[in-house]
Amino acid sequence: MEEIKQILVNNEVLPINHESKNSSIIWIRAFLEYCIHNHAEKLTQSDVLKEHFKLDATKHEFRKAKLIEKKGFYYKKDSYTLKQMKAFPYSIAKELNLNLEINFGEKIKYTGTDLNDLTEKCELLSDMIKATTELYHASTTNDEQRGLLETIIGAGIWYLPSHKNELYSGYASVALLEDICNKDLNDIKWTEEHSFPRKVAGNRLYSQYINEVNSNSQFLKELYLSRLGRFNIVTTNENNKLKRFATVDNFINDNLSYEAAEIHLVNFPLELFSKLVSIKNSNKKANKALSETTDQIRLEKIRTKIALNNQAFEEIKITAKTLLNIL
Amino acid sequence: MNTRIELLAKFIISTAPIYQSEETNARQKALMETIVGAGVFYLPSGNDYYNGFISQAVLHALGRNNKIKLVKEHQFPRKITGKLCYTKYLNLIEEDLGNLDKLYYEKFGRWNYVLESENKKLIKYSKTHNFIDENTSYLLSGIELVAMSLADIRLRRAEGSEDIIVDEY
Repeated sequence: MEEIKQILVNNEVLPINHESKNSSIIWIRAFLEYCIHNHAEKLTQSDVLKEHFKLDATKHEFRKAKLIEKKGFYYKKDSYTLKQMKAFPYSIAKELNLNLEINFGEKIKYTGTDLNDLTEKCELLSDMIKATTELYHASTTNDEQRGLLETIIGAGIWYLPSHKNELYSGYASVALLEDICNKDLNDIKWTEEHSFPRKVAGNRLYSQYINEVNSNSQFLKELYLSRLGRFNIVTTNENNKLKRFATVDNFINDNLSYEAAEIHLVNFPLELFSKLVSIKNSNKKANKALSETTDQIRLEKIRTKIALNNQAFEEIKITAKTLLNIL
Repeated sequence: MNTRIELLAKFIISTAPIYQSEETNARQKALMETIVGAGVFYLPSGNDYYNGFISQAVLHALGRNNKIKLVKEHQFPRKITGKLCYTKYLNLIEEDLGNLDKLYYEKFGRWNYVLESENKKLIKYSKTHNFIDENTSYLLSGIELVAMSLADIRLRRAEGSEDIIVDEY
């Protein structure tokens, strides 16, 4: 790590005071820079960054121009390694001993009524991982088969009980808040985005975290409650953008994926999220009932309900505007 | 043998002792069946696995409606496949991994074409506690199957129909 820092400082790629920035994207760029410096052939940092982060053309050109202006450098080293690096940033990062530990984040106390169910299922899933670890790592198992094992374990995680109230991270994207400010209640749509992809979870549980799985029967449950089960709320479009950063070979951590997909999160309290879910569901039911009934008294009640929902939504809008103005 | 099917067979054998353990309760067993069922979802399901039948309702709609959506309906719900792999067919799979390939080709991977609405009707009879066998599910759902080759289906499609092979459930 020190070596990387030194290279970056020497090459003036990062400002000398970069240590003060605690951003994962700085470090991923740092290791890419290191790889390029050592292994790349006729490619600039911006080429690789573009490939990896799918930066838009303007940004790419800007970065490239800036780098050429600064150093005029092209790297001339082993291109095979560069290919690997582009395809497998996670394994390269691992090779370079970068800090890939999962940030466990805030611990939550799960009080859902199905806590026992969650405990039992996590223990079972841990046992299944243990029972198939040898198979996963066997030399006779090919990559496609390993991928299927990761998917199967990922599916197991998907079926674990979830309580929205407790697993909601407390964060919404800026784009979603903008939608809330600008759209009608009926037009608001969001996706519960699990920032840790399930297939990646399967991969890491078989490799990086296998010792913890083996030694601590509660490890998976803790990981699920602190990371794997947690979700942010984002727009559908943002959810699609994140997919390219959610693969086993590309995913490093959720902060990096969100930064790369240019999704910015802001604190959106659980109370507001719950209220939004509640009025959205209520409006959906009311709209359906509206088209199905002819009874005047009932119609009046439904219209009142819709008006109340819209009123409650206006309050959420005001808070969303305040949150956006603070940014 | 298909490498994914081979892997799934090994997965079932490796985890079967957990399924059979007295300490594993019914909820946990159900999750194991679902997990294996999820693995089945990723196995091949191309035209080789078409069992040669479509529903009467599909036949009726084929030439009349170019917007109909044909659904690949697996005769064995995936969760049921998971259960059978851990119980009835476990010995067979343990004897030879290739037996899962055979079972998949002959039973678990087989699908018919039905309408989307029929697929929804079948869900009720696909639950572990309701499922008796594939024929009973169809009978109880009021779905009658008729034999037809894929080539015939293509010929009978109404003009302007999109290519068949639609959703898979």
